Amino acid sequence: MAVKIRVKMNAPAPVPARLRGLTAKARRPCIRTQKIVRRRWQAFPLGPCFALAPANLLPHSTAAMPLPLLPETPLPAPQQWPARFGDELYRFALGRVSDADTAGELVQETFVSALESLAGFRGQASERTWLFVILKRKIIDYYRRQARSPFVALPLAPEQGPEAEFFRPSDGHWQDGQGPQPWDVGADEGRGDVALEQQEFQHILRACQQRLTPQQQAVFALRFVEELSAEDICQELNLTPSNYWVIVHRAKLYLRRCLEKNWFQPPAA
Amino acid sequence: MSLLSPLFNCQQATLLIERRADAALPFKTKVQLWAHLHLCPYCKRYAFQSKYIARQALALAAPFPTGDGLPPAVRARLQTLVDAHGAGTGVL
Repeated sequence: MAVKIRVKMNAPAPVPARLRGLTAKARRPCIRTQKIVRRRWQAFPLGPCFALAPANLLPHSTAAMPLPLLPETPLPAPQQWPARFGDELYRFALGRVSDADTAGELVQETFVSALESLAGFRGQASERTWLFVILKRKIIDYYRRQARSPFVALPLAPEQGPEAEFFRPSDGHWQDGQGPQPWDVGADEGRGDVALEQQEFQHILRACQQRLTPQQQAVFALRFVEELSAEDICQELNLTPSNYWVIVHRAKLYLRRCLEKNWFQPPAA
Repeated sequence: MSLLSPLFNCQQATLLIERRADAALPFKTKVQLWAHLHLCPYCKRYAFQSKYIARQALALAAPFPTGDGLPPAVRARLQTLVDAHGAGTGVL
């Protein structure tokens, strides 16, 4: 009786796809540990547990028994990848690296890696998700190469670093003329060419981003576009946290100034 | 100068503005930064603009839903690659 009540109170758990079609008894999770399975085999040599036991755990005599049909996961079909996912992956990469050749190479690297690890693909995620995961990894690798290619020493002392361009070394306040000016953001909401302006703005933002040093570009992209955590970026690029923050800071300072000069310049300056 | 010494200077404040986006600052630092931002219009603008740039950079990377797809040359190269793999291993 008590059992019945409990059963009624609990909402019926959703039946996993691989267990559909089996009786309720057979659905009992009986292969939590190998030990339990073995005990059940001894008790019920032909019991329902066989439906769930992996083939290599089955006793020899029953290995030839037909296993219940599990829903088939579709095999990955690499021949269709370029047609099915090529454009999507390419556009994704193009948004990140803004260089058609590099984007193409990244997609190619993705396919090469995917083909190599095809055996490891278990169909737990869709092919599309899986390929995107690989592509994201490739993009991070790309930034890592970019950040490492020219080794730049990082002067941390404020009077040597590029911070001196922005702040007075004596007291750390904004240099004359470097202080941020008010930006007229979103004042032109009602105008018809907002989309066009946005496009132009993004063009300038991209150009400004490309003026940063490769290391700053990589850190900026990993932080603000890939949205990795600070620890991950430090690890990927082999940076100490304080260096990392100095680079983020410098990248933002340069980018901000570049945008202000090229986009937000007051008309009658 | 002596008035501002318990606060940060602008260089430190802007660096902390960047750090603040990532993880919460210690309470004392937070209060000092808050005070600085209330006294310094430049850094206040910087804080706003810094966020704005981050948003725009993220939007910039979003792929256009419709746009140019794979260039035909790359597509052909990729198709050769996957076909060669399929033929080489016998896996579909």
